[in-house]
Amino acid sequence: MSPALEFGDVHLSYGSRQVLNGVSCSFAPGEVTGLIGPNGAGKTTLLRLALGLLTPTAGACTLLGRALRQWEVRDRARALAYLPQSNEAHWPMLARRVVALGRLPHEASLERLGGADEEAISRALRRCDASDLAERRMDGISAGERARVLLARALATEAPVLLADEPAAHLDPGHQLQLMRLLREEAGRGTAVCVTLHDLALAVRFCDRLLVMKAGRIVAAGAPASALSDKVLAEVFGVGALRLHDQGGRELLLVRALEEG
Amino acid sequence: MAYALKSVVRPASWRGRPVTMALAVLALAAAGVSFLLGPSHLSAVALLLGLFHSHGFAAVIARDIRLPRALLALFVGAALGASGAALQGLFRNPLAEPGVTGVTACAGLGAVVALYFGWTGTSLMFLPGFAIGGALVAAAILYGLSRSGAGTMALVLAGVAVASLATALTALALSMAPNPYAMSEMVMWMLGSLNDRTPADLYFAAPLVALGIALLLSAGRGLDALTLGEDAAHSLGIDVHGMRRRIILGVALATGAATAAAGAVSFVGLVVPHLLRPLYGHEPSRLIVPSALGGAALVAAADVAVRLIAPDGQLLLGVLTAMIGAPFFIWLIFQLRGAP
Repeated sequence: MSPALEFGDVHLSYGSRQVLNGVSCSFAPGEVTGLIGPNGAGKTTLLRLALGLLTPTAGACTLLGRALRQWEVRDRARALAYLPQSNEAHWPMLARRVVALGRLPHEASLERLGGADEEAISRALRRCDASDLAERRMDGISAGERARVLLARALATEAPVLLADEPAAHLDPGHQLQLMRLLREEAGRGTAVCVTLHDLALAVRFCDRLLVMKAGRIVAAGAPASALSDKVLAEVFGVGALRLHDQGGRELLLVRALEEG
Repeated sequence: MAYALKSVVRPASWRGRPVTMALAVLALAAAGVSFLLGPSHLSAVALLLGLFHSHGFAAVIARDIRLPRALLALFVGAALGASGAALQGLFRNPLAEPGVTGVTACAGLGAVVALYFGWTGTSLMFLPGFAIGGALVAAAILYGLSRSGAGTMALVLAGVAVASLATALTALALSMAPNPYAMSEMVMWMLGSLNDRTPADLYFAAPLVALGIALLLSAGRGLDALTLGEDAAHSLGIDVHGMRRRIILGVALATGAATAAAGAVSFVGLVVPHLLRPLYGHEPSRLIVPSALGGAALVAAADVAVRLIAPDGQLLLGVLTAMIGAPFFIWLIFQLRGAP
């Protein structure tokens, strides 16, 4: 299947500082692709390139087969949904109205929501197990509930590509697992899901493919077990790992300090 | 973040229209009372008839004095209320407001510079032009500050600094200008007043205020999206920079014109949006029109109150709004302690 989002030999520098140094990668429909790497590796920069917030110094970004810079702003907003890292809505609006913001690319406004918009909002809330939160205020629900509502906001756009920046940060383990499961389900509906993660155990468990970044380059890519080899773990993160397998034969990763190895 | 009136939570289906209607009625009623209030003992009937005559005592009072004053109160209040709502949405901060952020003080400085160095003789538009220019400078400073990631307190402190500087320069300009009434004029510009306004004040202020508010309304969808942060708003197809420019220009036009007509009336833009916000589901775009109506009602009512309390014109409009607004501001800061 042709990739939904593709970067071809992308370079980006701020002044003399090279932030991205020849990144080539792609994100396929129906897959959860994990973008991992230490702080400053260029993960968020890559997401901001896809959003059109940054322009590459060299190289090509392609969204659904068309060069990103050829997209009309509104069309791009319908094709590419973005879930930022912040787990906050700045005003304590009702959850359903926050989710409704995801319909803005569809020529809707909060004052003017059509039947199709309302259906998409309800569907997104349902998919995120957040239907019962619809009439609650954002400051009256827990961090885990807020994360689900904000994911529903991103899903309400019904875009074929979803970028999520550290969606599991700030969440307790139970809510982390729940959020990652919801992202998997979204990929199951055919969406190309790209997610940046710091938690390697979550990355291995929930992603179909991993892209490991270091200093503006992709140093390893592929299925989680092969991308996160012991060598990559040591070189990129300075850690070792204990590898376990669950009953289904799926690999689980337990990170530990190298000297414990 | 702690919000006032937490108990007044409404379901999403409740659109707040009855409140909007009530605010409009309130504003018109306050303007009506303002129209009927004054030192000349004319009956309500005589005044209303005066509106439809081109000459005679009642006509002069009604058309040249009372009506401009009542309508100016509405426009000034609407400008300040809408500007407050839009600035709070833009900065995602309930403390942002034309007065607190120094926008009105800078507009006042612009007006004083234009007025007392004689440039208003050249064209009637110099006065509002300079006021809007002053407001634009203050709004641009704030905008630059917020872009560099300044928090709530930095924003408020910068506002204090900008306002103090503008006030000092206003005093300096008035002292240096060939103006025998410098002291009393200074007080009028710094505190705001609708005493002795003329139809000319209304004619230049009203269209500029309307234009400014229209600009603010055009940015409503963007303000809603901004609730999710700037990058998310961008991802939703909002032109964040364009929206920000529109809001700063809209605030400068509305606040500048209002200040050129009435001086620096403070705190209206702080109090009104904050009180109305829970009634409109905390949604920034829905808050702009009600804040304009609420501001209009508040300023018209305050202008009635100052004349009832001190019929000789010794109590200025801005004194009253500050007496209501400043304690409210302090209370709000206490409420916001510990918020990010």
